[in-house]
Amino acid sequence: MFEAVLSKTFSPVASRCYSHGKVETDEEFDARWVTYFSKPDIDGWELRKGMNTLIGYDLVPEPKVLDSALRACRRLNDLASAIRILEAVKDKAGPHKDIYPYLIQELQPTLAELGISTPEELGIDKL
Amino acid sequence: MQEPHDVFEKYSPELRLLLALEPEPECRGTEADSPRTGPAHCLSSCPWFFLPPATHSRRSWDISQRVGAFYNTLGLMLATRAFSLIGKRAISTSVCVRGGHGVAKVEDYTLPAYFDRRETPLPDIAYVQTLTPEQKALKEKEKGSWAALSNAEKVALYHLSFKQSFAEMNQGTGEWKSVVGGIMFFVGLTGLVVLWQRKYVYGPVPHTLDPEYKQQELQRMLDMRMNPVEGFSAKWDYENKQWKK
Repeated sequence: MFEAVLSKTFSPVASRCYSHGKVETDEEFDARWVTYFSKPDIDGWELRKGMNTLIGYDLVPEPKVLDSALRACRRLNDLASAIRILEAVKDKAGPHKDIYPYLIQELQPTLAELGISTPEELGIDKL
Repeated sequence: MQEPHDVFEKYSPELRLLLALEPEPECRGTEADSPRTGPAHCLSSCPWFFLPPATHSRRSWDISQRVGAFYNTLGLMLATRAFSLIGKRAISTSVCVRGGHGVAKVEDYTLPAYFDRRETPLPDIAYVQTLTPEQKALKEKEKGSWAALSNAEKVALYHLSFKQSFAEMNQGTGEWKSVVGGIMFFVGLTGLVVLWQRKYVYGPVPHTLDPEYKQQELQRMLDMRMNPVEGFSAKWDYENKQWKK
């Protein structure tokens, strides 16, 4: 996946784009976001804030991060947001048309378990 | 929430707010607040033109926001201590901590608004705020297993929360055709104006543009051997008094 070097939200070492600074690895980034969405009592605001921030980054989130986010939607009884998240990551992939099918393939067990339909199944990906 | 390597964990919530480490939780509103209004003091401290339509950013180091957050935190600490007896609900309806004169009128534009944006997939509020009984029943059904919902119900739930799907919001408008058409129209109109001007406005051109005069100019240029190496006179055949083939 395409991931840029990002600074952490707060850390004692400022990890900006200095060559000598501490750089967060992809795994740390993913783990941080999985943890964020895995909070058992996550509220709607945190879900929206997290998702909007994640979409703001120059990357398509990993399936495990999305899985965590979709489960957060389930805890919040928010099917609409779950479908919206899928639409958003498809839009985020931009011209790279092979990313979204890969994500759906990886998320298929979760989608089946939670009963989330993809935008394509519901027909809202067309006008 | 779990933040690895967070040395500020041990700081009190107020101090964290003070240092602008977190967005102010009060700004999200309490259980008692309706979805569209937050605590009045919070909204009045965050002028709408400082905020992007999305919710607060953790990393807004903008000076004015920090100052605003600082004063807001001070006010909040005073408010929470003073009104803890009245209860959380009262904070939004009781005396505004700033002026102390009464509740400031909450302007509509200061409240969270709905936007369909690619970069903000989950807007601050749901699209449909007031639900009919059928819609409420559907929302209740949403609390159960989603596999039990039909496709139509899922689409209905989607449209309760969102106005346009991504496909709809991303579609082009065809406005460019109007723009190009307008450009061509006005260029054409300008052309007509220019032609009319040439005929009716401008006087005759100078005599130096008469064909006879131009011929004399040309002869003079050749006689002077202007640009004889590669340019003008180089192309004239002086022997045969004609242009070189």
